[in-house]
Amino acid sequence: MTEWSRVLWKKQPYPDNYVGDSFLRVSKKRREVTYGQAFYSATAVTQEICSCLILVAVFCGLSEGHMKAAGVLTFTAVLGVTGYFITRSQLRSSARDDIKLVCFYVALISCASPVVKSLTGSVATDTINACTTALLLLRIVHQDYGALVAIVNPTVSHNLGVFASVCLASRLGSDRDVFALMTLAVALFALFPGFRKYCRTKLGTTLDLFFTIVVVTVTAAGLWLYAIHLMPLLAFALVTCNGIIPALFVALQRHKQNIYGPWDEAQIEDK
Amino acid sequence: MLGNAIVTVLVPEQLDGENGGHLYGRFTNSKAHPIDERESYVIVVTSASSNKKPPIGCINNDSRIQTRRSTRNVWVELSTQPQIQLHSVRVSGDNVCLSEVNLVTYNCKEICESELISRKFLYREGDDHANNIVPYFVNSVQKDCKKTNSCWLVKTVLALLLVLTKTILYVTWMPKVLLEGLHYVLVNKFDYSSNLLKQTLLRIKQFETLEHELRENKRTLVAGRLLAMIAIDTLLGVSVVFLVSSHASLNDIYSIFCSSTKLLASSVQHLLEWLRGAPAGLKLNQPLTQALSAFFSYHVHLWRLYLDLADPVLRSLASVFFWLGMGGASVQVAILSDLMDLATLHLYCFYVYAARMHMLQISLLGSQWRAFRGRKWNPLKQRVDSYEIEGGHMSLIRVLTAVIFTLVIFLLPTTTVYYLVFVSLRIGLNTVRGILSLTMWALNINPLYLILLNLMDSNRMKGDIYFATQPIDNARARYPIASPLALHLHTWPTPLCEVLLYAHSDVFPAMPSPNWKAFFCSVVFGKELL
Repeated sequence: MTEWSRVLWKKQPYPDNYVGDSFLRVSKKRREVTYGQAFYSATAVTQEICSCLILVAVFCGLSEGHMKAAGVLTFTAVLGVTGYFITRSQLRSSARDDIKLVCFYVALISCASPVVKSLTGSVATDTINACTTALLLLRIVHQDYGALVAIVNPTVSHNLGVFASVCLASRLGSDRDVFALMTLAVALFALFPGFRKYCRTKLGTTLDLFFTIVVVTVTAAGLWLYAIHLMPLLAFALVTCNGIIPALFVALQRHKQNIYGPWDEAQIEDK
Repeated sequence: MLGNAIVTVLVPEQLDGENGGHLYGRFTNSKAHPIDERESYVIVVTSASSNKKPPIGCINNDSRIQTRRSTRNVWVELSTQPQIQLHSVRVSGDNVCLSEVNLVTYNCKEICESELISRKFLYREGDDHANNIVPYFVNSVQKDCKKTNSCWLVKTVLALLLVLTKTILYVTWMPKVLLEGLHYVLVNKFDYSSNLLKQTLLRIKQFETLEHELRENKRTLVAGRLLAMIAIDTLLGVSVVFLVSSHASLNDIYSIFCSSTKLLASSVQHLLEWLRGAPAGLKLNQPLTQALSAFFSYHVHLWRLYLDLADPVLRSLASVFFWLGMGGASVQVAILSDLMDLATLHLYCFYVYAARMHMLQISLLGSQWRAFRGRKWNPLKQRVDSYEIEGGHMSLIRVLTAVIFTLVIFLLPTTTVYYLVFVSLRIGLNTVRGILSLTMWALNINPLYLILLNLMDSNRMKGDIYFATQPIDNARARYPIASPLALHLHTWPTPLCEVLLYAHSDVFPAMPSPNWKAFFCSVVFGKELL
């Protein structure tokens, strides 16, 4: 028997009311995702978690005096310039405009630093810690990882990150420390996601994976040096995010019932 | 005999007991009713004293005498002893059968003195008066009443009052122009309406209305009410002035006022000191609260300096105000209200600063909260839209937004505390001002005169009419052939609320009531000031 096809102008050996496999014109009932794909997609979340943890680590280092503000600033500057040169081809604005932008940023943050320093003088440390944790979690939730869903809101995620960093920075001792942390925060939360997107789309999977590993190593080093009490958190996050969740996703896939494909247009009858 | 007609004869009961004479009054008739072809006639007898008009009847106490048949339109014969009785009625020469006649007795004085009746039963020229009797009747009686002479004492008192009012108006003409100009400038340039100016101008307007009412030489309820109100007001004012001046001299009063103002300034200073620390246990942002407290304290210090400098000027003004208070109790309350405004000027300044800060904060909060979520207010479409980030310029704005939002959120408690403190102070002052305004309003609309008239059941308050049948004794003896329907017209007083509404004019101001919606909007958003 020939394959039944959904056309009326062909004489087919099937009866008129026969319903074949291709009746609904669905292309696929289930998109199968392998473990490798899931793992690769989850690295985006890992990078985000790591950037948040870097901020916390730097804060711990600055507040306990292990790190100097100048060191943080140099680190940020190096990262910034490197990232700029890598994504040079992507950017539409000229170098002059970018330098002007950097100057504006610097001016803005240095003006805001003294105000920020005394902002939370009357708030307890526990409140600040809880607040920051909640804000960073919310930031991770709302960040744009490439999925087109309603909860994704890059503006909210960016603003929450800056809010969290202001909360943290108001705990520091000197104006310079505050300035350094705020600059790092702006670099991590305003510029880093753009860079990550560029990596993911333009540079290919191997480079991206390599980059992820670099980020994770830097985070681990930072936490080890300055905030060793957060190392278990990093380990837990890594294991959950890259190991357990993708495995769970892949295992539960076969219960999904999504139908992909064009739908028949609905005919509205006039009664 | 005149067939198929109804005649109504209205006779004043004051004629009871009169010996003889002619009757004077008015009459009218109506066209024949289309269905039962009846004509109606109304004959209103207003007096028995002669006036220039021809008589419409006579009093004939002796039933045996027949008066000559007159060829006039109507002729009414009454006998007034022992009671008012109708003898005969002739219309157009024909006798009317007495059973078709309604005889209504009324009290002339009541109808004459009442001004509310003519308002309730409005007389219009072209109406069918014979069928709609009461307006025509009221109008006739009141027109004829005017020609009677009233008591000479009342006339002289009214004339005196008129002269007095006219002199007051002449004297206050120039001050009135000046005060109006001052009031206009204050309201438009400084947005401040002085109660004293308003009260003085209102008083002058009241005198004008009084003069207008008295000029027509009638005793209206409005005139009476105005007179009573002004008299009570002035009496109260003068008595208060004498009472106060017998206990304390002008200097004492002035020093009391000065010391209370200084006390106010120092309590404001204490308040600011309290806010600088941790007021009510609230944890405020230290640098900000210290800055604000220092700024406001300096302002209070400047205010004290100003008071010390302005001492001599205020001293001279105080004596002016003191003697101005002779003008009436309402003027004194107005002076008090204005002085209170003047004394708390610095509090008003603080309130304005705090309200502007609050408004800035609230609007920033609103706009930055929207920007936080990636939305923006679209003024063209008047709605909230989302907007896209592109380019480096926008990312700067994004960072700026986030930083400003955080700053505003953390500084919110401090500024809100300051704003709440000053708003509640302002509301307290406004409440006091409102109470003083209500007192002034009550003194200005003083309905005491009308209440007294109502209690004394005066004729001027009567505004309603009802008819009651009068039983005739010995009807068969008096009216052997046919008896007319005997009614008595009673008047009934109008309810007090209606009288208050009637005796009202522009010079009685409306009750000051606060606009609650604007009040709440002002407190929450701070756009308009309280």
